[in-house]
Amino acid sequence: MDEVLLVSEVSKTYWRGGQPLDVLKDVSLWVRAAAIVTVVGERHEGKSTLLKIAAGIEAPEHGRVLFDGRDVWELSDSQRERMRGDEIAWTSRARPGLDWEMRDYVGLRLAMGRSHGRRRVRAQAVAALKRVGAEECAERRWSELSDWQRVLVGLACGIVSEPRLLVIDDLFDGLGISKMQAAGELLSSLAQELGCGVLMSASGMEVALMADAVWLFGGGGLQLMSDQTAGSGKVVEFPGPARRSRGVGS
Amino acid sequence: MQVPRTGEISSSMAVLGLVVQRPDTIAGVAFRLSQTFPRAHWSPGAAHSNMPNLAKQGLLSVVSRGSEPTLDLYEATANGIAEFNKWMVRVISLPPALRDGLQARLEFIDRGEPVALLEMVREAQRGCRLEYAEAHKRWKAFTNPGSHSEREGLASEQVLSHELKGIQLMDEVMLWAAQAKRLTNLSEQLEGLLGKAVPGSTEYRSSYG
Repeated sequence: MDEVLLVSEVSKTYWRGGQPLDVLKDVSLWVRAAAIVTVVGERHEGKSTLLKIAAGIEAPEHGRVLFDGRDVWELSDSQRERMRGDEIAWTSRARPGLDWEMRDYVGLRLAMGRSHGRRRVRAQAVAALKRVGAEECAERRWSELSDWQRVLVGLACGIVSEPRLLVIDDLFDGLGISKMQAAGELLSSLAQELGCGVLMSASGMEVALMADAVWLFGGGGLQLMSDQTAGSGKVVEFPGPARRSRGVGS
Repeated sequence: MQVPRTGEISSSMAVLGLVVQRPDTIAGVAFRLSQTFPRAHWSPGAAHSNMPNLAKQGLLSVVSRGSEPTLDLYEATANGIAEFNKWMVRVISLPPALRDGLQARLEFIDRGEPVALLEMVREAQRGCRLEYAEAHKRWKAFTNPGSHSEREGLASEQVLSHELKGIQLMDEVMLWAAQAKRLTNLSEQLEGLLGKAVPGSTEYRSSYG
Protein backbone atom coordinates (compact mmCIF):
# COMPACT_ATOMS: atom_id res chain seq x y z
CA MET A 1 0.00 0.00 0.00
CA ASP A 2 1.41 3.41 -1.01
CA GLU A 3 -0.83 5.30 1.37
CA VAL A 4 0.82 6.25 4.64
CA LEU A 5 -2.49 7.58 5.91
CA LEU A 6 -6.08 6.73 5.09
CA VAL A 7 -8.87 8.72 6.68
CA SER A 8 -12.16 7.03 5.99
CA GLU A 9 -15.63 8.54 6.51
CA VAL A 10 -14.67 10.38 9.65
CA SER A 11 -17.26 12.45 11.52
CA LYS A 12 -16.94 14.76 14.47
CA THR A 13 -19.49 16.83 16.35
CA TYR A 14 -18.79 19.44 18.99
CA TRP A 15 -21.35 20.72 21.44
CA ARG A 16 -21.60 24.47 21.66
CA GLY A 17 -24.11 26.04 24.04
CA GLY A 18 -25.97 22.74 24.27
CA GLN A 19 -26.32 22.57 20.48
CA PRO A 20 -24.58 20.00 18.27
CA LEU A 21 -22.17 21.42 15.71
CA ASP A 22 -21.20 18.99 12.97
CA VAL A 23 -17.61 19.92 12.22
CA LEU A 24 -16.80 16.92 10.04
CA LYS A 25 -19.24 14.62 8.32
CA ASP A 26 -18.07 11.48 6.51
CA VAL A 27 -14.78 13.01 5.48
CA SER A 28 -12.24 10.83 3.65
CA LEU A 29 -8.78 11.51 2.32
CA TRP A 30 -5.44 9.83 1.82
CA VAL A 31 -1.77 10.73 2.02
CA ARG A 32 0.86 8.84 0.04
CA ALA A 33 4.50 8.45 1.03
CA ALA A 34 6.67 11.45 0.10
CA ALA A 35 3.62 13.41 -1.05
CA ILE A 36 2.33 16.74 0.26
CA VAL A 37 -1.41 16.95 0.76
CA THR A 38 -3.08 20.27 1.56
CA VAL A 39 -6.52 20.74 3.04
CA VAL A 40 -7.80 24.26 2.35
CA GLY A 41 -10.68 25.83 4.20
CA GLU A 42 -11.90 28.88 6.07
CA ARG A 43 -11.52 29.21 9.83
CA HIS A 44 -13.78 26.91 11.83
CA GLU A 45 -14.51 24.64 8.86
CA GLY A 46 -12.84 21.73 10.63
CA LYS A 47 -9.31 21.71 9.18
CA SER A 48 -7.51 21.52 12.49
CA THR A 49 -9.99 18.98 13.84
CA LEU A 50 -9.40 16.79 10.81
CA LEU A 51 -5.64 17.09 11.22
CA LYS A 52 -5.82 16.28 14.94
CA ILE A 53 -7.91 13.19 14.20
CA ALA A 54 -5.45 12.13 11.49
CA ALA A 55 -2.51 12.65 13.85
CA GLY A 56 -4.10 10.59 16.61
CA ILE A 57 -4.56 13.59 18.89
CA GLU A 58 -8.35 13.80 18.88
CA ALA A 59 -10.78 10.90 18.51
CA PRO A 60 -13.43 10.85 15.79
CA GLU A 61 -16.98 9.78 16.62
CA HIS A 62 -17.29 7.72 13.48
CA GLY A 63 -14.95 6.52 10.81
CA ARG A 64 -11.44 5.14 10.75
CA VAL A 65 -7.91 6.44 10.54
CA LEU A 66 -5.34 3.98 9.19
CA PHE A 67 -1.67 4.84 9.57
CA ASP A 68 0.56 2.38 7.71
CA GLY A 69 -2.37 -0.03 7.77
CA ARG A 70 -2.92 0.24 11.53
CA ASP A 71 -6.15 1.70 12.88
CA VAL A 72 -4.92 4.61 15.00
CA TRP A 73 -8.05 4.66 17.11
CA GLU A 74 -8.04 0.92 17.78
CA LEU A 75 -4.64 1.17 19.46
CA SER A 76 -4.24 1.51 23.21
CA ASP A 77 -3.46 4.99 24.52
CA SER A 78 0.17 4.09 25.14
CA GLN A 79 0.57 2.55 21.67
CA ARG A 80 -0.96 5.63 20.10
CA GLU A 81 1.25 7.85 22.24
CA ARG A 82 4.31 5.98 21.01
CA MET A 83 3.12 6.22 17.42
CA ARG A 84 2.72 9.99 17.81
CA GLY A 85 6.19 10.28 19.26
CA ASP A 86 8.01 8.06 16.79
CA GLU A 87 6.13 8.01 13.52
CA ILE A 88 3.68 10.88 13.37
CA ALA A 89 4.83 14.45 13.99
CA TRP A 90 2.56 17.45 14.56
CA THR A 91 3.72 20.99 14.06
CA SER A 92 2.19 24.46 13.83
CA ARG A 93 3.21 28.11 14.17
CA ALA A 94 1.72 28.32 17.64
CA ARG A 95 3.92 30.12 20.13
CA PRO A 96 5.63 27.61 22.41
CA GLY A 97 4.58 27.80 26.04
CA LEU A 98 8.17 27.54 27.17
CA ASP A 99 10.69 30.33 26.76
CA TRP A 100 13.49 28.02 25.71
CA GLU A 101 16.29 28.22 23.23
CA MET A 102 15.19 26.71 19.93
CA ARG A 103 17.69 23.83 20.14
CA ASP A 104 15.85 22.69 23.28
CA TYR A 105 12.37 23.47 21.94
CA VAL A 106 12.97 21.58 18.69
CA GLY A 107 14.44 18.67 20.64
CA LEU A 108 11.47 18.46 22.99
CA ARG A 109 9.79 15.70 20.99
CA LEU A 110 12.91 13.57 21.25
CA ALA A 111 13.38 14.20 24.93
CA MET A 112 9.83 13.40 25.99
CA GLY A 113 9.42 9.95 27.49
CA ARG A 114 12.78 8.73 26.29
CA SER A 115 16.16 8.20 27.73
CA HIS A 116 18.03 10.33 25.18
CA GLY A 117 20.69 12.46 26.85
CA ARG A 118 20.47 16.23 26.61
CA ARG A 119 23.60 16.48 24.50
CA ARG A 120 22.28 13.97 21.98
CA VAL A 121 18.87 15.64 21.82
CA ARG A 122 20.47 19.03 21.25
CA ALA A 123 22.73 17.64 18.54
CA GLN A 124 19.74 16.17 16.69
CA ALA A 125 17.74 19.37 17.14
CA VAL A 126 20.61 21.45 15.76
CA ALA A 127 20.92 19.02 12.84
CA ALA A 128 17.19 19.45 12.11
CA LEU A 129 17.53 23.24 12.31
CA LYS A 130 20.50 23.04 9.96
CA ARG A 131 18.56 20.84 7.55
CA VAL A 132 15.85 23.48 7.20
CA GLY A 133 18.38 26.31 6.93
CA ALA A 134 17.76 27.77 10.40
CA GLU A 135 20.97 26.86 12.15
CA GLU A 136 21.38 30.43 13.36
CA CYS A 137 18.18 30.07 15.43
CA ALA A 138 19.56 27.29 17.64
CA GLU A 139 20.47 29.52 20.56
CA ARG A 140 17.69 32.07 20.09
CA ARG A 141 14.33 32.22 21.78
CA TRP A 142 10.94 32.46 20.08
CA SER A 143 10.61 36.21 20.66
CA GLU A 144 13.91 36.76 18.84
CA LEU A 145 12.79 35.04 15.64
CA SER A 146 11.33 36.53 12.45
CA ASP A 147 8.09 35.09 11.03
CA TRP A 148 10.07 33.16 8.43
CA GLN A 149 12.43 31.75 11.06
CA ARG A 150 9.40 30.61 13.08
CA VAL A 151 8.19 28.72 10.03
CA LEU A 152 11.60 27.07 9.65
CA VAL A 153 11.69 26.20 13.35
CA GLY A 154 8.20 24.70 12.97
CA LEU A 155 9.51 22.53 10.16
CA ALA A 156 12.53 21.52 12.20
CA CYS A 157 10.21 20.46 15.04
CA GLY A 158 8.33 18.36 12.51
CA ILE A 159 11.28 16.52 11.05
CA VAL A 160 13.51 16.11 14.10
CA SER A 161 12.14 12.63 14.81
CA GLU A 162 12.19 11.67 11.10
CA PRO A 163 8.49 10.78 11.07
CA ARG A 164 6.58 8.74 8.48
CA LEU A 165 3.78 11.29 8.59
CA LEU A 166 4.21 15.01 9.16
CA VAL A 167 1.04 16.91 10.07
CA ILE A 168 1.31 20.69 9.72
CA ASP A 169 -1.41 23.00 10.97
CA ASP A 170 -1.53 26.50 9.44
CA LEU A 171 2.22 26.97 9.34
CA PHE A 172 2.44 28.68 5.96
CA ASP A 173 -0.55 31.02 5.82
CA GLY A 174 0.21 34.67 5.11
CA LEU A 175 3.81 34.11 4.06
CA GLY A 176 3.59 35.82 0.68
CA ILE A 177 4.15 34.07 -2.59
CA SER A 178 7.98 34.17 -2.71
CA LYS A 179 8.45 32.74 0.76
CA MET A 180 5.68 30.26 0.01
CA GLN A 181 7.63 28.97 -2.97
CA ALA A 182 10.78 28.68 -0.89
CA ALA A 183 8.83 26.83 1.80
CA GLY A 184 7.30 24.56 -0.84
CA GLU A 185 10.68 23.63 -2.28
CA LEU A 186 12.06 22.95 1.19
CA LEU A 187 9.08 20.90 2.30
CA SER A 188 9.09 18.92 -0.91
CA SER A 189 12.77 18.04 -0.55
CA LEU A 190 12.22 17.06 3.10
CA ALA A 191 9.29 14.82 2.18
CA GLN A 192 11.35 13.15 -0.56
CA GLU A 193 14.41 12.76 1.63
CA LEU A 194 12.53 11.29 4.58
CA GLY A 195 9.97 9.48 2.45
CA CYS A 196 7.29 10.85 4.74
CA GLY A 197 3.79 11.88 3.81
CA VAL A 198 2.80 15.45 4.65
CA LEU A 199 -0.72 16.49 5.57
CA MET A 200 -1.18 20.21 6.08
CA SER A 201 -3.94 22.75 6.47
CA ALA A 202 -4.18 26.23 5.02
CA SER A 203 -6.69 29.03 4.75
CA GLY A 204 -5.48 30.27 1.37
CA MET A 205 -5.18 28.45 -1.93
CA GLU A 206 -1.68 29.91 -2.41
CA VAL A 207 -0.39 27.38 0.10
CA ALA A 208 -1.83 24.62 -2.05
CA LEU A 209 0.63 25.53 -4.81
CA MET A 210 3.30 23.52 -3.00
CA ALA A 211 1.04 20.49 -2.60
CA ASP A 212 0.87 17.33 -4.67
CA ALA A 213 -2.79 16.86 -3.79
CA VAL A 214 -5.32 19.53 -2.83
CA TRP A 215 -8.59 19.16 -0.93
CA LEU A 216 -11.04 21.99 -0.43
CA PHE A 217 -13.57 22.33 2.38
CA GLY A 218 -16.95 23.62 1.29
CA GLY A 219 -20.59 22.74 1.03
CA GLY A 220 -20.28 20.75 4.25
CA GLY A 221 -17.73 18.35 2.80
CA LEU A 222 -14.26 17.92 1.45
CA GLN A 223 -13.72 18.00 -2.32
CA LEU A 224 -10.66 16.64 -4.07
CA MET A 225 -9.40 19.47 -6.29
CA SER A 226 -6.27 17.86 -7.64
CA ASP A 227 -4.15 14.77 -7.06
CA GLN A 228 -0.75 14.82 -8.74
CA THR A 229 0.83 12.21 -6.48
CA ALA A 230 2.78 9.33 -7.95
CA GLY A 231 -0.04 6.85 -7.48
CA SER A 232 -2.86 9.20 -8.50
CA GLY A 233 -4.09 6.84 -11.21
CA LYS A 234 -4.66 4.09 -8.66
CA VAL A 235 -7.94 3.54 -6.92
CA VAL A 236 -7.56 4.07 -3.18
CA GLU A 237 -8.98 1.15 -1.25
CA PHE A 238 -10.75 2.41 1.81
CA PRO A 239 -11.18 0.16 4.82
CA GLY A 240 -14.59 -1.15 5.81
CA PRO A 241 -16.84 0.81 8.12
CA ALA A 242 -15.68 1.63 11.61
CA ARG A 243 -16.11 -1.25 13.96
CA ARG A 244 -17.42 1.03 16.63
CA SER A 245 -18.76 4.49 17.12
CA ARG A 246 -17.28 6.72 19.72
CA GLY A 247 -19.17 8.96 22.06
CA VAL A 248 -18.60 12.69 22.08
CA GLY A 249 -15.44 13.59 23.91
CA SER A 250 -14.28 9.99 24.28
CA MET B 1 -8.87 46.71 -34.94
CA GLN B 2 -11.71 46.46 -32.44
CA VAL B 3 -10.48 45.91 -28.90
CA PRO B 4 -12.79 44.01 -26.55
CA ARG B 5 -13.74 46.04 -23.49
CA THR B 6 -13.79 43.10 -21.13
CA GLY B 7 -10.03 42.96 -20.61
CA GLU B 8 -9.97 39.61 -22.34
CA ILE B 9 -7.74 38.95 -25.32
CA SER B 10 -9.56 38.54 -28.65
CA SER B 11 -8.55 35.78 -31.03
CA SER B 12 -7.32 38.37 -33.56
CA MET B 13 -5.08 40.03 -30.95
CA ALA B 14 -3.75 36.63 -29.87
CA VAL B 15 -2.96 35.80 -33.51
CA LEU B 16 -1.31 39.19 -34.01
CA GLY B 17 0.76 38.65 -30.84
CA LEU B 18 1.96 35.25 -32.01
CA VAL B 19 3.07 36.66 -35.37
CA VAL B 20 4.77 39.61 -33.60
CA GLN B 21 6.66 36.96 -31.58
CA ARG B 22 7.90 35.43 -34.81
CA PRO B 23 6.84 35.20 -38.49
CA ASP B 24 4.72 32.13 -39.12
CA THR B 25 2.26 30.44 -41.46
CA ILE B 26 -1.49 30.12 -40.85
CA ALA B 27 -1.00 26.43 -40.06
CA GLY B 28 1.83 27.25 -37.65
CA VAL B 29 -0.13 29.97 -35.88
CA ALA B 30 -3.21 27.72 -35.62
CA PHE B 31 -1.06 25.14 -33.80
CA ARG B 32 0.63 27.71 -31.54
CA LEU B 33 -2.73 29.31 -30.72
CA SER B 34 -4.06 26.01 -29.37
CA GLN B 35 -0.84 25.38 -27.44
CA THR B 36 -0.43 28.85 -25.97
CA PHE B 37 -4.07 29.46 -25.03
CA PRO B 38 -5.46 25.95 -24.48
CA ARG B 39 -8.44 27.16 -22.41
CA ALA B 40 -9.50 30.09 -24.60
CA HIS B 41 -11.98 27.98 -26.61
CA TRP B 42 -11.59 29.99 -29.80
CA SER B 43 -12.85 28.45 -33.00
CA PRO B 44 -10.39 26.02 -34.65
CA GLY B 45 -10.41 28.29 -37.71
CA ALA B 46 -9.40 31.42 -35.74
CA ALA B 47 -5.96 31.65 -37.36
CA HIS B 48 -7.37 30.93 -40.84
CA SER B 49 -9.93 33.70 -40.61
CA ASN B 50 -7.91 36.27 -38.70
CA MET B 51 -4.58 36.26 -40.54
CA PRO B 52 -5.90 37.33 -43.99
CA ASN B 53 -8.07 39.94 -42.23
CA LEU B 54 -5.11 41.30 -40.28
CA ALA B 55 -3.20 41.47 -43.57
CA LYS B 56 -6.07 43.44 -45.16
CA GLN B 57 -5.87 45.89 -42.24
CA GLY B 58 -2.16 46.33 -42.88
CA LEU B 59 -1.15 44.75 -39.58
CA LEU B 60 0.40 41.63 -41.17
CA SER B 61 2.03 41.10 -44.53
CA VAL B 62 2.77 38.01 -46.56
CA VAL B 63 6.53 37.47 -46.79
CA SER B 64 6.47 34.44 -49.08
CA ARG B 65 3.79 32.35 -50.73
CA GLY B 66 3.51 28.66 -49.85
CA SER B 67 2.18 25.76 -51.90
CA GLU B 68 -1.24 26.51 -50.38
CA PRO B 69 -2.68 29.54 -48.54
CA THR B 70 -2.22 28.01 -45.08
CA LEU B 71 1.52 27.77 -45.80
CA ASP B 72 1.92 31.44 -46.75
CA LEU B 73 4.46 33.00 -44.39
CA TYR B 74 3.25 36.13 -42.57
CA GLU B 75 5.11 38.71 -40.54
CA ALA B 76 3.89 41.67 -38.50
CA THR B 77 4.15 45.10 -40.13
CA ALA B 78 5.33 48.17 -38.25
CA ASN B 79 1.64 49.10 -37.81
CA GLY B 80 0.90 45.61 -36.52
CA ILE B 81 3.69 45.81 -33.95
CA ALA B 82 2.50 49.28 -32.89
CA GLU B 83 -1.11 48.05 -32.58
CA PHE B 84 0.02 45.10 -30.47
CA ASN B 85 2.22 47.27 -28.24
CA LYS B 86 -0.73 49.64 -27.74
CA TRP B 87 -2.87 46.69 -26.64
CA MET B 88 -0.20 45.51 -24.22
CA VAL B 89 -0.45 48.86 -22.43
CA ARG B 90 -4.20 49.35 -22.83
CA VAL B 91 -5.24 46.04 -21.36
CA ILE B 92 -3.48 46.67 -18.07
CA SER B 93 -4.88 50.18 -17.77
CA LEU B 94 -8.51 49.08 -18.23
CA PRO B 95 -10.47 47.55 -15.38
CA PRO B 96 -12.15 44.43 -16.77
CA ALA B 97 -15.87 44.66 -17.44
CA LEU B 98 -17.96 42.28 -15.36
CA ARG B 99 -20.30 40.29 -17.60
CA ASP B 100 -20.56 37.18 -15.52
CA GLY B 101 -23.38 34.84 -16.49
CA LEU B 102 -24.02 33.60 -12.95
CA GLN B 103 -24.16 37.15 -11.60
CA ALA B 104 -26.73 37.99 -14.27
CA ARG B 105 -28.81 34.90 -13.48
CA LEU B 106 -28.83 35.84 -9.79
CA GLU B 107 -30.09 39.27 -10.82
CA PHE B 108 -32.89 37.75 -12.92
CA ILE B 109 -33.65 34.86 -10.57
CA ASP B 110 -37.30 35.94 -10.18
CA ARG B 111 -37.68 34.95 -13.86
CA GLY B 112 -35.93 31.63 -13.41
CA GLU B 113 -35.71 28.57 -11.22
CA PRO B 114 -33.32 28.71 -8.24
CA VAL B 115 -32.92 24.92 -8.15
CA ALA B 116 -31.80 24.96 -11.78
CA LEU B 117 -29.39 27.77 -10.94
CA LEU B 118 -27.95 25.69 -8.12
CA GLU B 119 -27.46 22.78 -10.54
CA MET B 120 -25.75 25.16 -12.94
CA VAL B 121 -23.41 26.33 -10.19
CA ARG B 122 -22.60 22.74 -9.24
CA GLU B 123 -21.87 21.88 -12.86
CA ALA B 124 -19.61 24.91 -13.16
CA GLN B 125 -17.92 23.81 -9.92
CA ARG B 126 -17.15 20.39 -11.39
CA GLY B 127 -15.76 21.98 -14.54
CA CYS B 128 -13.65 24.36 -12.49
CA ARG B 129 -12.21 21.58 -10.38
CA LEU B 130 -11.10 19.76 -13.54
CA GLU B 131 -9.50 22.93 -14.90
CA TYR B 132 -7.81 23.54 -11.54
CA ALA B 133 -6.41 20.00 -11.56
CA GLU B 134 -5.05 20.47 -15.09
CA ALA B 135 -3.49 23.84 -14.25
CA HIS B 136 -2.06 22.40 -11.03
CA LYS B 137 -0.58 19.50 -13.02
CA ARG B 138 1.15 21.93 -15.41
CA TRP B 139 2.46 23.93 -12.44
CA LYS B 140 3.79 20.80 -10.71
CA ALA B 141 5.50 19.69 -13.93
CA PHE B 142 7.11 23.12 -14.14
CA THR B 143 8.34 23.05 -10.53
CA ASN B 144 9.51 19.44 -10.36
CA PRO B 145 13.21 18.81 -9.75
CA GLY B 146 13.78 17.86 -13.42
CA SER B 147 12.54 21.29 -14.43
CA HIS B 148 15.02 22.90 -12.02
CA SER B 149 17.96 21.16 -13.62
CA GLU B 150 16.59 22.10 -17.03
CA ARG B 151 16.56 25.72 -15.84
CA GLU B 152 20.18 25.51 -14.78
CA GLY B 153 21.11 24.68 -18.38
CA LEU B 154 19.38 27.77 -19.79
CA ALA B 155 21.27 30.70 -21.22
CA SER B 156 20.87 33.84 -19.10
CA GLU B 157 18.55 35.51 -21.63
CA GLN B 158 16.26 32.46 -21.52
CA VAL B 159 16.01 32.45 -17.73
CA LEU B 160 13.72 35.49 -17.69
CA SER B 161 11.20 33.94 -20.09
CA HIS B 162 11.38 30.68 -18.11
CA GLU B 163 10.62 32.55 -14.89
CA LEU B 164 7.79 34.45 -16.60
CA LYS B 165 6.33 31.15 -17.74
CA GLY B 166 6.35 30.04 -14.10
CA ILE B 167 4.51 33.19 -13.05
CA GLN B 168 1.92 32.64 -15.78
CA LEU B 169 1.38 29.00 -14.76
CA MET B 170 1.04 29.95 -11.10
CA ASP B 171 -1.40 32.71 -11.98
CA GLU B 172 -3.48 30.21 -13.97
CA VAL B 173 -3.67 27.87 -10.96
CA MET B 174 -4.72 30.76 -8.73
CA LEU B 175 -7.35 31.94 -11.24
CA TRP B 176 -9.01 28.52 -11.23
CA ALA B 177 -8.61 28.27 -7.46
CA ALA B 178 -10.37 31.60 -6.98
CA GLN B 179 -13.14 30.58 -9.35
CA ALA B 180 -13.55 27.19 -7.65
CA LYS B 181 -13.66 28.84 -4.22
CA ARG B 182 -16.21 31.37 -5.44
CA LEU B 183 -18.46 28.63 -6.86
CA THR B 184 -18.12 26.56 -3.69
CA ASN B 185 -19.23 29.54 -1.62
CA LEU B 186 -22.06 30.31 -4.03
CA SER B 187 -23.33 26.75 -4.03
CA GLU B 188 -23.08 26.56 -0.24
CA GLN B 189 -25.13 29.74 0.14
CA LEU B 190 -27.74 28.63 -2.39
CA GLU B 191 -28.01 25.21 -0.76
CA GLY B 192 -28.46 26.86 2.64
CA LEU B 193 -31.15 29.15 1.29
CA LEU B 194 -32.99 26.44 -0.63
CA GLY B 195 -32.79 24.15 2.37
CA LYS B 196 -34.84 26.68 4.34
CA ALA B 197 -37.59 26.83 1.72
CA VAL B 198 -39.77 24.21 0.06
CA PRO B 199 -38.48 23.83 -3.50
CA GLY B 200 -41.05 24.54 -6.20
CA SER B 201 -43.70 26.01 -3.91
CA THR B 202 -45.07 29.53 -4.18
CA GLU B 203 -43.85 30.24 -0.65
CA TYR B 204 -40.38 29.36 -1.84
CA ARG B 205 -40.61 31.83 -4.72
CA SER B 206 -41.97 34.54 -2.53
CA SER B 207 -39.08 34.14 -0.15
CA TYR B 208 -36.95 35.68 -2.87
CA GLY B 209 -39.35 38.46 -3.72
